[in-house]
Amino acid sequence: MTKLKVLHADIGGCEGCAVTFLRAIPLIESIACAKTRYIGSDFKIEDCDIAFVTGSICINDVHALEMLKNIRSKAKVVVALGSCAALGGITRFCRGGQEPKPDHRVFQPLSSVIDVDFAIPGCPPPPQAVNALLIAYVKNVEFQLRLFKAVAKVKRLSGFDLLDDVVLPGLCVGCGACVLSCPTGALRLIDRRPELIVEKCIRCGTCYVRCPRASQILVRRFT
Amino acid sequence: MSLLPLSPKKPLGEYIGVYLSRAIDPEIRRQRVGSGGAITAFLCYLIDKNIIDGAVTVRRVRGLEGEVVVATTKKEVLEAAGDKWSIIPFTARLRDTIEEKGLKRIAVVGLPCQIQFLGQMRMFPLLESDFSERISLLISLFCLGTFANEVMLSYLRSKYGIKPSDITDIRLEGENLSIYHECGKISIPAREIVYHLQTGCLVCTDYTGVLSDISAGISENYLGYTVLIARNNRALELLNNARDEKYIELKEAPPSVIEEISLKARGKMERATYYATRLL
Amino acid sequence: MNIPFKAYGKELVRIAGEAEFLALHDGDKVVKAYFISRAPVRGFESLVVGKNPIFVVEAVMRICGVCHAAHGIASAEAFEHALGLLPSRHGLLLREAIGLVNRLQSHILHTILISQDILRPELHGKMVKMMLSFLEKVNSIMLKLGSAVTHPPAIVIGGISRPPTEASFKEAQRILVEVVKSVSDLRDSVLNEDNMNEHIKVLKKIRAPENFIASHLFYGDRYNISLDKVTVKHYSEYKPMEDDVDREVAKKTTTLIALYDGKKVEVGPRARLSIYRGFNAKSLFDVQVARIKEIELITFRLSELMDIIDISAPLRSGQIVFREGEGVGVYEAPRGLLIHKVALDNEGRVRKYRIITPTMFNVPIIESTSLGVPISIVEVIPRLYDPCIPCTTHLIKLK
Repeated sequence: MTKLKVLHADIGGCEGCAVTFLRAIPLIESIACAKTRYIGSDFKIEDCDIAFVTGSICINDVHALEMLKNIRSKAKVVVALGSCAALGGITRFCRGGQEPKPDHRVFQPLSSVIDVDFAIPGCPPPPQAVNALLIAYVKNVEFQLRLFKAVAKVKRLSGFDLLDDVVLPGLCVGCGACVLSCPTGALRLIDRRPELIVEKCIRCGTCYVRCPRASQILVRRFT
Repeated sequence: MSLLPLSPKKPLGEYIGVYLSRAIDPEIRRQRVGSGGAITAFLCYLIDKNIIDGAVTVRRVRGLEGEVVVATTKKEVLEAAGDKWSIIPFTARLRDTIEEKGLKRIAVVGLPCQIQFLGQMRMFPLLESDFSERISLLISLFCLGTFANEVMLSYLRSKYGIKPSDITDIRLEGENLSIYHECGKISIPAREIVYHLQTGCLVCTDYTGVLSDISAGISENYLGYTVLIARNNRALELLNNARDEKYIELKEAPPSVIEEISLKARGKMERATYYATRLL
Repeated sequence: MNIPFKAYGKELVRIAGEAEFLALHDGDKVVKAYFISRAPVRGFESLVVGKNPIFVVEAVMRICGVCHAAHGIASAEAFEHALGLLPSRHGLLLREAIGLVNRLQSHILHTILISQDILRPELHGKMVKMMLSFLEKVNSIMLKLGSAVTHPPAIVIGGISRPPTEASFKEAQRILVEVVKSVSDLRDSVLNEDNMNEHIKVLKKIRAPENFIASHLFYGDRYNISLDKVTVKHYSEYKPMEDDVDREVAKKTTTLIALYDGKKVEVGPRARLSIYRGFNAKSLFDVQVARIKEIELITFRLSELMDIIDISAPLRSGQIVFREGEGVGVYEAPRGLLIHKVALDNEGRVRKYRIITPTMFNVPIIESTSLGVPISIVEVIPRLYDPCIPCTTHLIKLK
């Protein structure tokens, strides 16, 4: 089986997801040939089968926008890896007004600018997520990929969306998946229903994607 | 378009085989009502042979609250084993509990929603702190829904004057749900339970827990046996070994059983569609 | 205006983040050098204004996915200073341990990035593999102590939350013993003369000036440096702006520069080891040697800490009161001196926040050390100093 040509590019995140990709390289060795800025002498955006893009896109940064569009034109499949790329994540709180580039005001998930094929939330996701996606893609395990296709279409997810879409309409069964999915520990079960510690929510969206009810809603609405 | 490998054509999900099984040890069978105690016996096999170092489930305790229960010896498995009506979805303390006890290979017995979460975590870990490498086996029970605590509690309080802290146990006995409390027991016809289910359960499409390794439930026509669905080769191998080691009986289920559970599964999917259009 | 020199400019690979390096040379040696960061400015200082301190500590860790814990610790220290809180002793020790594990993560990552520059070609694939598996061991310690491999939520104002269980802590100690062994292997490979390539020989001959600052060897100390001597400038205010290239670069770059007492200073492992361990570090290659030595030193200190820490002791001081105050947290991040300054309004929310990162100090150092260096190896110089671009693109001018 010929290996997939896989590329990783970062367009302005914290590099946490980029490190995730670097750590994933030994895991995906047998099915993919990976190129990243972290290894080698030169890095160019070139034709590839799958491009993993990390970091959110700064709408005001022409250089970043060009790079992102370039990636889309050269990759058959684009995967937004990590909450910033998939859903905006912590950069949803960005305001701009910072020297030396006060005009860098708006940071959005990649799907605001290009078509994204799959989006994987997580702050950051572990290397195994990269491996899992590649395997699911190669074997075309539809039901697994459907969820990440849906995440690629939704514009934002946070603990608040979980409360609004699942708990308030009475759809929560108290399974606790959300509590085990929060990287900052912002969710806890009180009286068998999730309670959000508002100041700990960094809007990574992982809780929503792991909730059995919320993920059902996602797939219904977006695929 | 489903999130799970589930559809009206495949209401039971992907599987290798459906079996009728029961515990060989009569002591285990005696405790059961309706099922054949096969899962209890199977867990004993897994623990005896050190294939797992703990069996984890969550059950109702006093006052209908949930508690993670870990069994690391055969004796504890027998004590923890109980009716499925006492199992509730509640994974919040799961990671801490297995971390505290230093368990490295557990079998989780749960309801489809928990198993969906843990199964998806296994397929696609999204956090470094995901612990799917500690989960050796996922066992799902067939489920049509769990109680809404508040509804059940307020019903019991208003109709029978029973306080939540008085409730000691809940068990399905024949056609009735028996609620044991400080001063005795009351029975509610099982048919009425549906009015007390959690609303979230009504939109669930998964009767058997399609992301599990093994699913277990009962068939109305074969009471005294556990219906087992083996979903992959490893699960089947373990079941066969448990049979060879004389922990369980295992035989292929007749088509009528498969028909029956498929019918129930489709019914749940239809119910889900009905409520989904109204609730979502 | 004509530039009399040739230009060697490229987008730097194998650094944390996006940056370009432009060197003007005369065919042989570098005459002028520019380090241009290109990552967009996410602006964490303005992001946190008006927010609850609990949010801020979680948020600032996400400035950088490599030195995450450093930001969390510096931020927690700043809030504790502003609110007059003293964390409990064991909370501080555990926090120091988490910070040191993060430093290990960062240094290991850096070794992966730079190995191609300093080792013989046939060795570097093996080195990357070895370091990646070493990193996984260190990551598992971080997972146990900090509750997450990246952005450990255990770091909170007042100490540490979600401490590991006894079993977990013992397991972390066991893995640390393995790590100590791996570190000797690492040191022997990287510092082994037989394994080095020709770049090293050149780097060893180049003298790197010794103006250092470091607040502490293992943690940080706000009383050990004069904070009023730290100034932050625009690139355009710092560089002479003599020609078009100067002006072009100043427009493009997304970072600011930090100076101490009006002068450029080096921060990082070489600074720490020189000041606190008397490390005799004169050549450019010593910047890398210091980092490797620091890895060893960290493992010793970590072992010490793990023996002292009592996780059943109170690890978090209670009673966080939200009120007005001003504070500063000074911490030695993996790359050097890191400063977080906070001012709170009367409801205890952030009124003003300033972050000064180590790479801001090192950018002028990278540029000046490159002068006179053979063009063939000039690309290695920025990498030696381990710049962290996500960190530098979050700062506002100090008023």
